[in-house]
Amino acid sequence: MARSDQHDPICSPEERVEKLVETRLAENGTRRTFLKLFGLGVAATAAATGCGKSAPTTEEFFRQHYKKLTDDDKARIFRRIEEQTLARTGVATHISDPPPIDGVEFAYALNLSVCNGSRRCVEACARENNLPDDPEIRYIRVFEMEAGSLDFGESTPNYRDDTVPAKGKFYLPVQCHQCDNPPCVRACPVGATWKEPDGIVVIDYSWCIGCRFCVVACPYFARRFNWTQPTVPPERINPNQGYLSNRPRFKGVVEKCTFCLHRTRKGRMPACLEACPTGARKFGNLNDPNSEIRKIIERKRVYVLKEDQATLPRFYYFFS
Amino acid sequence: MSAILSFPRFMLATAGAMVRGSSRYYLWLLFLVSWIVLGVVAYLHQLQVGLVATNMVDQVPWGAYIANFTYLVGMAAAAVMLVIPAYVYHDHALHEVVMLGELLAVAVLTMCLAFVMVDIGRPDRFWHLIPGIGRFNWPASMLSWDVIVLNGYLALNLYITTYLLYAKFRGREPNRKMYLPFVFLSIGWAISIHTVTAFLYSGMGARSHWNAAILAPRFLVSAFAAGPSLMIIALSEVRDRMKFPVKDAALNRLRQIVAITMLINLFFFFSEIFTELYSFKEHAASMRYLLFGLEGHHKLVPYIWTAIALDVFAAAVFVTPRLYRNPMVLRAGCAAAIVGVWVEKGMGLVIPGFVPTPLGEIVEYGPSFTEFCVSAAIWAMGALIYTLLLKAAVPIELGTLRLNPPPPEPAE
Amino acid sequence: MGARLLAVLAPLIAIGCGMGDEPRRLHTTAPPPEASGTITVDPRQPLLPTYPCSRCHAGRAPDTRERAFTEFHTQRILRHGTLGGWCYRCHTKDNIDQLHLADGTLVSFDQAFELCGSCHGDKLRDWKDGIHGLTTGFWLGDRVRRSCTACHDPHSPAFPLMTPEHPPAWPRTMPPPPTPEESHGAE
Repeated sequence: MARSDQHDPICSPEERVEKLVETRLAENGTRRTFLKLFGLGVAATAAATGCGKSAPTTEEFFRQHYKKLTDDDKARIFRRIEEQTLARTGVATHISDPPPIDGVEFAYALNLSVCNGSRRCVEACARENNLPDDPEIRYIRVFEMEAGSLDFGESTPNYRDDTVPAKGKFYLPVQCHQCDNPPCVRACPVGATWKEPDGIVVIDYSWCIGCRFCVVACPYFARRFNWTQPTVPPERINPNQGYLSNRPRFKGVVEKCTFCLHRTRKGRMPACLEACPTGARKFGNLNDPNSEIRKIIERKRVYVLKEDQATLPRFYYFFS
Repeated sequence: MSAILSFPRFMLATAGAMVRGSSRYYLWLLFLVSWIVLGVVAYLHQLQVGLVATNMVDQVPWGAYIANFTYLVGMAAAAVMLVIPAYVYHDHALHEVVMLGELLAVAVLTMCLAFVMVDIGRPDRFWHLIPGIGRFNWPASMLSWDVIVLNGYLALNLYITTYLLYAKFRGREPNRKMYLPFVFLSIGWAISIHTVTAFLYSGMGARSHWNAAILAPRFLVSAFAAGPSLMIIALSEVRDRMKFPVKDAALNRLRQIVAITMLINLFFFFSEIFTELYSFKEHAASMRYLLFGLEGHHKLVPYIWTAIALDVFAAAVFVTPRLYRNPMVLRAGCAAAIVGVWVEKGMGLVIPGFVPTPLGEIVEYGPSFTEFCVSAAIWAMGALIYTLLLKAAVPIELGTLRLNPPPPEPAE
Repeated sequence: MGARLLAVLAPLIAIGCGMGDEPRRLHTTAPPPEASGTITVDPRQPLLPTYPCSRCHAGRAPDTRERAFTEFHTQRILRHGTLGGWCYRCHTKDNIDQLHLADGTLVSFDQAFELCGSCHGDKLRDWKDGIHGLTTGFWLGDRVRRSCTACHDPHSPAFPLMTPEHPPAWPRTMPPPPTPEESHGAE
């Protein structure tokens, strides 16, 4: 099992106890020593139950922010992550870091006249991005809306209709809108999330401290936190991984939709679009006047959610 | 030079004072330490399984830890309510007790930092927050401002108290130039710590319950009601148990402060309630959830009405001479203010910001057993730190703990 | 002195003025990458189980009566449009392996979209630009556009009802929702 040989201070209590007894008993602080020993003993017992397993490796602990990594750093890090995944799950993965393409600014459009609430996009996204089932993380949330109202107060994401679309309802999927004025990027105290030149708001999972201020700040409920260690069954792991998108994440960090940048930066469509059975999802380069997305914005009645928040989303909704 | 050389002796002397005491003292310490141990075990469990040990979920990403943090930042700021009368208005009755207020700020600030540490998902990445070494998203992120102002305020108070106590310990007159500018700096700084913490919330456009201009004033006013209430209790204890002379005028000044601030606090809360409910917008869903329940969910309703009742009771006590002149009733009023503001700020403010979510979902929250243990442990840790600080500081202030103790009176 | 003051203030004023403006929607000044790849419409003819139709229909006279099928094409129930012509509104009487437009122009099954679009012009315009319908593959490269009949059975074109995937996991801190049986029983 590929594990680091990092010395985890919490998990080696014997040495600490010895040292403490020697030095402190020499002083006049027997009561405090007793209390310290007692506390340490309890801590050691509790720690022996395995908190060391989730401690970071030395390399992970000292790893710099993504923007400070050199190409050599990245090559080393990607190889190490691939080795760890192979050792842990037996699956050979490949981690890439495709740069944004020049002259590309991604945008997404969703046809509300056509979405039937099948949630195929939700599950395809989960497969593509290695999202765990237990606890469940899903980047896309589909809301069943009352016809005649765009008010989320009247909506529910928990519909269980036997067949969709249900009468008198329409369906509105929500995921990260990759806003141009993202409140999450402003909120992050360590700069672990930022907007890339092609418009995608990314997260450096190895830099995030898990304070969840970005989760608080997002008006679209787009960001997910790993409340515990996520596990994906080996047979369901997608081996085509991106460092900033769907590589293995861990407990204590935030994640979200990245427009499948490990696919889209290589020219492919995102997984949710390909899975949509009704063709409601449209994606492309806003900078290209011949792209579908530009034509939609020019020709269709397009709007965005919560425009009053001035987030300037790159995710448009339209009726056709 | 001798100032530096004597410092280790100062440390030893204070440490000695902290560990020596009556059996009641040891019982109190043992009581606090057992809560701390319980919390350590709970926290280790949380480290092992992740924050799933709490009752927070994606819809309610902040809970008991941040609610306590928010409340305690206000408590720390409340030390300024002693500093202003003492230093700006030269209220000599308060001059002697300012030190005790500043020490409270030190203890409370360590609790604030502890609550942040137990809340973040990756405490091992704490170094990412250090400017220069990590990556500090200042000035955009309000949390980065919070890191600066909280640590700065802690450093200020630690410096001022250490300097003054050390000077007294050595029997020297403190040099005004060495502490007075910092005291005045700490006045503005105290206001800033709670303003920044309020801006964490009021800056969130996505959360309409918080996105109000009155939030920062509400925070400050409620802190200045709860903090001096705690000071009244603490100073009364110090007067009774440690024979420290606390003038009645000092306690009365604090009482006056709470009377005014609690009334203003109630008015601000009422103003918020009116604004949210009169026009009945979707905006007000959180306020309706808090006060009346929403779509069958009403977990917070009993708590907020209890908090309002406690606040009103406290206000009544603090303005009625017949009531506040009775020490037991005064203590009850203080306790009511402390608890009332705690509920109003924690469950009454932080949690409704998440209910309903920006997309209309209702997920309720109540702390888990792990959260309770860890939170209680941090409160116990703060009480322990304050106890230890007082145990050392009071003898120094009284003159019984000295670097060079005066020679004993020759026996007749 | 004044110059120094201006040097300090000027960038602040510039930022101040800039911050009030809405950011430009497109930040890049680089040209978009060259449009590459081809859009192919998925061929439908190979998927027709009964093609070529002339195998059976060559020796039969066309029957334009509106009826339920009992012998062949029994799954075919026509729910498309209201006026007459029955099968031969779209299928061609004397050239059964092709479809025909309103003016008689023949189109193959692979070009059925032209026939659909002759009535559903808005949809055809949108479809030709990729706004309607499903196009998968590479947004910068080759992609396949689904023909109309890949999703819409031309004989009963209403998009079929589907069973949705499971709803999101119920928040673990909330009591479970009442099951449909329980809530009906309560009424």
